[in-house]
Amino acid sequence: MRAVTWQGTHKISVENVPDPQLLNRRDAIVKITSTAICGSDLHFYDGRMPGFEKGDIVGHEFMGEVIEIGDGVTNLEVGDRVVVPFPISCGACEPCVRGETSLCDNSNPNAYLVEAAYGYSPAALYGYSHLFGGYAGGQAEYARVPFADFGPIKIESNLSDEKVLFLSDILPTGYQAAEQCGIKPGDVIAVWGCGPVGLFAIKSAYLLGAAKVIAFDHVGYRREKARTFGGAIAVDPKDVNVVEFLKEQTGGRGPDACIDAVGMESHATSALAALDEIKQFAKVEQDRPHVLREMIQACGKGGTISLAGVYTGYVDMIPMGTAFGKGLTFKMGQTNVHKYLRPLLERIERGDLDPAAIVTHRCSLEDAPAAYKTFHDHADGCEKVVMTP
Amino acid sequence: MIISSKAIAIGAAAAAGLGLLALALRKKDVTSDRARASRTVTIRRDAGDVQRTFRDPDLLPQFFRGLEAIETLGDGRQRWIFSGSAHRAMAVEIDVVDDVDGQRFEWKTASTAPFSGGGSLSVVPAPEGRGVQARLALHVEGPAAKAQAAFHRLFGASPAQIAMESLRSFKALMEAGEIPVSDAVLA
Repeated sequence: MRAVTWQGTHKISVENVPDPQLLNRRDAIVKITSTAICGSDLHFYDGRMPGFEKGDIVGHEFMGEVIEIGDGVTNLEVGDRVVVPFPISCGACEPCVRGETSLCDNSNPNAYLVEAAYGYSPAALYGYSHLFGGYAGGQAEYARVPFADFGPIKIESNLSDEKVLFLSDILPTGYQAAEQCGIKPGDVIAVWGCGPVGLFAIKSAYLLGAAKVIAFDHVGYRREKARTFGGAIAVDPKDVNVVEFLKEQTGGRGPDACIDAVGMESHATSALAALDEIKQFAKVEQDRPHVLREMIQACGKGGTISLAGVYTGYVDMIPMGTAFGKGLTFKMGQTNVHKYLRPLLERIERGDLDPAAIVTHRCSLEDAPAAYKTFHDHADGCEKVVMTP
Repeated sequence: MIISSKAIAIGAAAAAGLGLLALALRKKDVTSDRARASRTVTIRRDAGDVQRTFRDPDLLPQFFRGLEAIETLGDGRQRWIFSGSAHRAMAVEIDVVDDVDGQRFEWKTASTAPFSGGGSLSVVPAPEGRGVQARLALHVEGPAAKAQAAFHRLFGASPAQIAMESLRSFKALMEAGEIPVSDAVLA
């Protein structure tokens, strides 16, 4: 089959690779009909994600048709149309039973590698390094889906792929970011980053009752999307003092909750941000936490800091005294996609939101190398790329 | 589980920096007179199921790292066939010295074994609704260098890694019904 593979920093190629096979009883094989490039794919594209090997098949946002099932899969049939959540989760361990499927104990065969680095192992992920299981990704013609009796959601309506594909990751990720803010009517929510996750966080904040959402992004077309798709007040952080601007917008209180939809690769022009760049280059600080620092400074007393953007390691100079003094609550983690699949599909079916509206680029799988570059460079107004095998 | 040596090297390099602190804090697995390790996991299953699965000679090789097969010899003696670190199979006879349903399974090397050692699985109830806590302990007696060498001949890894990986696979088999397998096995 054809598959998108990682070949090194900023090197992506489409190669002929062996077709996937059923390896366990609870596996299924899916013929992929649509697959997307995620913002977190840019971490390995930029060479910032360890544990990749040349030739690894990438991609974790995909959907398609079931063409083969293991004898342990009783809830799916060949021909079913499914969306596949990006965490690989067994459904039987304690975290999975609690609904925290991104923390699955049992899906990562290389857990000892992650444990050596972090002291724990979360769920395995599709196409996201050998640290997270070494599972082949979904930017391909076919994919093997482990624990297929627990993960995928069947799409039984005639909704288009683009309307449901983002159930695999970015829609639940944005929704979880908003949900963990504990939004009450009248709340003001600030969102850093207007990429796809930021857009869905904005939309979700309004769906959950926010009175006003204020969003920040350096990229002009993303701010425009935040206004037109999300209904947010969207501002270039270079144009304002973010903390003072948010006070001004909230009668001096600061936002009730702050959402980080940027993560480890934030950009800023402050001296501290420049120091982060140097320390990251020298490998003495893994992530650049500019957004996290700014959120703590900006958030209102007793507010919530919600992290959807990915962090991978150590960060420096976090103003913990401010966080402690304000009594802030921190909520974070990979997305527990499984528990949001059904309620968010119902919202899509009701017309509460149209995820397809964020798609700006469509192409063949064969065009993946150019699509990665366009997405990475913020070129051509690129917000979201969907590829068709 | 199969994973390329290169990926392990990459992962290990990535792990090295972040893992230094953890390693510094970790208790030594090797002392002057033996190599040993124990690790514990919580398993969402009944204590009896957990203990009986572990003691089953047909099932233990599925999840105990490096163990290829078990032959039952009678009177509590078994021959455990290890794949060996250099793919040279190695047989070790053991005696089951404790076997309490739902609580404990313990073995020691027989007098015919090339080294002296043993291990045990202890099962105790976890807090309400959480199943059981299973603790796997392994040891090889003798001077540190010899004891370590015996472990490496059998498993190609440290006692702690053997204990943790075996327990992790055991937990997956008990809870998920199967042990996860990466697509890297096809590479």
